[in-house]
Amino acid sequence: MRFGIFDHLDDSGLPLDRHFEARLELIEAYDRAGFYGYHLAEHHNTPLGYAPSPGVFLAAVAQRTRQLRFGPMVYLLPLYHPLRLIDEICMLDQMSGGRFLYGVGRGISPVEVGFYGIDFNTGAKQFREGSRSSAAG
Amino acid sequence: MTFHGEFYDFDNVPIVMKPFQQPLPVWYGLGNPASVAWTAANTVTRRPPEQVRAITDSYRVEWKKLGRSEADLPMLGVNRHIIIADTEAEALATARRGYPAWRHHMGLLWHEYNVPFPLEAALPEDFGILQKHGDAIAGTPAMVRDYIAREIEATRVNYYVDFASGTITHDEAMRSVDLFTNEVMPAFADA
Repeated sequence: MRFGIFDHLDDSGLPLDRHFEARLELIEAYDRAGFYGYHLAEHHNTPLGYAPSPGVFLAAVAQRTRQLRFGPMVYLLPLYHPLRLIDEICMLDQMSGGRFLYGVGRGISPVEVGFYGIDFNTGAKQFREGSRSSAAG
Repeated sequence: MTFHGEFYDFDNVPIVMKPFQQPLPVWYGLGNPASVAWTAANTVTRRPPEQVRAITDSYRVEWKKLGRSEADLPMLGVNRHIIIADTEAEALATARRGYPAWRHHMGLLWHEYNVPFPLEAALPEDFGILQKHGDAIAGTPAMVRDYIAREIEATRVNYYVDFASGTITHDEAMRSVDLFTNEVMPAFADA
């Protein structure tokens, strides 16, 4: 049996700089303990998720851990151009020596993607297209 | 690389970087057991045990159709809220403080924008009810070991995923991880 963590990085009441640092310390503990994966949610404009750019936080995770695998759970694919996404994935996987777990989806919140002008109903189609094109890369 | 679609359209773009892993593992958060057919990927779900079992069963069927062995099965994960402390009372006190704040964040934008929150029923506001539904455990390491053993048997997952909630204190989270590492994980080393 393998064990993992799913994290929203939601508001903790701590000032944001301390919140990020405390969470990185917790992730170091997961790494030492032998957890398999750390999965980070992507949410936007809400205290539910302070990793709206999950790749930025995960770049720090890559540098603070040795064996723990990690990735977004999930990238909201309609918010990424496929070429940009391919580049980010390559960077995170190479920067961690192959510990990146590529989680993709269209998201569950029409409100959040709506802030970006994305219609949730076409989001699924855009997700499939983005998924197909990024897989090609 | 060339792609022509409704949303994306580009021609002969040089792709100069590759991922370290070949192939790169793909993960989905899976809500609907019916989605399994197009999914030969890794997954994590927070559905109730019987629905998780339907997902893992479908996966095993699809996997066998591909002629692949059980040992190569993708990671099939279930996601639960787990809070461990030295005593049950301490764990419950932490969970009762930490969970409602996370739950409030979960529903916040849906409520503010008057969009029905699809997890309203699945996520009761009271931790005690969540635990009664079987979606969470707050207790001693022994209680958590028993809970996880029952869940693994009911769901047939090969991956067990804990929520990290931001609203419990750093010291509580560190103690919970410490107890999980030293008193829970070793019991499942061969499972």
